[in-house]
Amino acid sequence: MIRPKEPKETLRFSGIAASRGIAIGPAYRYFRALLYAEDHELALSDVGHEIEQFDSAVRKARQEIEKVRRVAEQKVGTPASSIFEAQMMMVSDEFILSTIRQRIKQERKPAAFAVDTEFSAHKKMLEASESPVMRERADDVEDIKQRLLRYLLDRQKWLSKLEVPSILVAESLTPADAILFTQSSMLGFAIDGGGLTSHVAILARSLGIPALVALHSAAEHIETGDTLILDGERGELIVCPDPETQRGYEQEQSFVLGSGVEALGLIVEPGEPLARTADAREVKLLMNLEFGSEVAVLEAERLSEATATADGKKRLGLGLVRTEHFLLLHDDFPTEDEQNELYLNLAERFYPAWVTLRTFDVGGDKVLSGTYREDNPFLGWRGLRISLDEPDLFLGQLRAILRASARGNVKLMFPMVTTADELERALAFLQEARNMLHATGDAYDEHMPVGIMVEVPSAAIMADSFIPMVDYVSIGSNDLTQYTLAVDRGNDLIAPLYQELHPAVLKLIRGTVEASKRGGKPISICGELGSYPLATPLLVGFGIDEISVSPTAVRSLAARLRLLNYTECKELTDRLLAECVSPEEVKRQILQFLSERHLIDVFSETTLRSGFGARLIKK
Amino acid sequence: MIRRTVTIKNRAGLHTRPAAAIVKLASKFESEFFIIKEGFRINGKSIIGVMTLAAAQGSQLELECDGPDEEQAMKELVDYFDKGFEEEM
Repeated sequence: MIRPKEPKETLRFSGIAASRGIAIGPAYRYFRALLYAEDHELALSDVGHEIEQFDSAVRKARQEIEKVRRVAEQKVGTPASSIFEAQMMMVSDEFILSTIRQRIKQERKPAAFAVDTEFSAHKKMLEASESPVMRERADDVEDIKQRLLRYLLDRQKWLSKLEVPSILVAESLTPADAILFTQSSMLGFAIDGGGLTSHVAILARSLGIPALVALHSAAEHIETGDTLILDGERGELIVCPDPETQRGYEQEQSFVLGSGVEALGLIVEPGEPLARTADAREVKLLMNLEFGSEVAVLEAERLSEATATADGKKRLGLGLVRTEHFLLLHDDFPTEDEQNELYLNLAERFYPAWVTLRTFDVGGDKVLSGTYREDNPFLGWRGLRISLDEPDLFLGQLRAILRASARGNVKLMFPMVTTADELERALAFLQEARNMLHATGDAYDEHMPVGIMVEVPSAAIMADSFIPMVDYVSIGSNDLTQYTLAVDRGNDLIAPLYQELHPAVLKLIRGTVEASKRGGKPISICGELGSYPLATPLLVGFGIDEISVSPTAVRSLAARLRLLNYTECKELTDRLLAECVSPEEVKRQILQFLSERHLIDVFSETTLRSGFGARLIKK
Repeated sequence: MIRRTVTIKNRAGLHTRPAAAIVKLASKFESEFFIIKEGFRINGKSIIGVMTLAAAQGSQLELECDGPDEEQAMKELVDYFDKGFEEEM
């Protein structure tokens, strides 16, 4: 029998609002690490014990699922809870269980390893299905596998995901986790770790769901089912609020959803640019496709359609497609044809607007399962370095991109370029890929623009030497900031040191912009700085031609641009870089600039108001 | 041992719910039960096995029952397939 819960004490936690908005709903407490088992041979004398361990894990899993099923039945009714009945049958599947027992006995495999490999094999088969319904069932198999592994490897208690809209609470979250959770109805998430620019934070903004990061020790105080208010406006998480507080938030929620910046909108008349400054200088807007799921593509596509000209011509394209996110969805490198299908799909859906495909940037914090573990992944084998070392992989991707370019709206971009020599080698590969397609008679755009990401200080400093070789340059402000200041943006111990407005970073950006202008090449920015309100006057002042931000940030960016004057912004940036030696001074000057023009409210930092450091306020 | 060919009739195909029902039904009988799809043979008393068939609407499956009560088992199973798992067709 399930008794109603004792009313719990209200708790408040401060964190960083990584994505704005307000979510109200039950918590789902998630323990991140996906477990896997290692192989070794059992001693013959251990086999009996291993079988007992396995049978005991199966029993515990059954009890646990039955409990979850009852809770689900009470909360969401019988139809939705039937999934747990299916899970129960799966964990009682004698066919698989006896196969596993046999492998322990005959092959002397550890129980955890046998469980891992058997369930993974079935999961793979489901994932390969053409039916989306079946592919989703792969998660159930993974669920059960993880549950069994947890008991076998003696890890903490773990509840399966409930099929009710919830606010996800965890110590940390990988982008792959977040992607899995977006398939169920996640209202928002609140995590102890992370920073404003960690990938999950970027993901949250691109999904348009509220999110808090750097809550430090909040997760351990929260249980699945606790009512939460996630305040992405003020960076606060309220656990078990009193009814009055909750009503207040419900009102504010309805206000936030339909208001403000949205109404300012974009300029949509045909013949007019999408966005321009008050003194009519055009700034081109583009969208970052943060990850390749259909949800994200649809969202971007809808915005592109909404801002099309009267005759339906799309103008809002993709300034950055992180192709490595297709890996997360595929669990492996997709083949050339699979990639081509993905890229062509994007090129067609956004035609005639640009689609900028960046070659795989794996490594660093974008860990791919199975890749080599490094002491310093950010300073290691990542991005273009991997591509140059893996010619087959690289050529395959380049051909897939070229083949998607035939209609003339695809741009290519290389990530993590550090030296001119790397760029020369990458371009030689590109030429080889072109030659191959030429030989096979495949169509491609001979004039496909090729650009580089400037995100390593060496590339920013030596920009003049790269620019003659490319058609355009794009600044990746996130990595440029962390490499310049030697701060890992995902490490919340030092998150306050990650300062995009540091004069050192701004000088590198300005230097890159000036080099591009000297070389007569367009310059864009596709990092988080693009959507950071306080940075907008600087980007305008630097004379950046194109800004690429997540779809949810496009409208507010367009609105801010309309309020700024290029000449004034240029004066501001010149003065600021001549005088300021700290990010605080930079901020002060920008705020003063904005307040003199009565723009403080529009550019206010409410979304970014941060609560660095652990602060637990008990009410 | 007897074999019959059946067609998936319901729109959603052989998804979790019918897979669970088939396994439940088959488990009532002593006979062994296998499903064969495009040369791929799975144990019909294993729900994960049945699910991995990922059989969509219109696909043809071969059912195989072997044991003392094979006639009755086959009759009830074929009947359940023919009704489109009592779902929208």
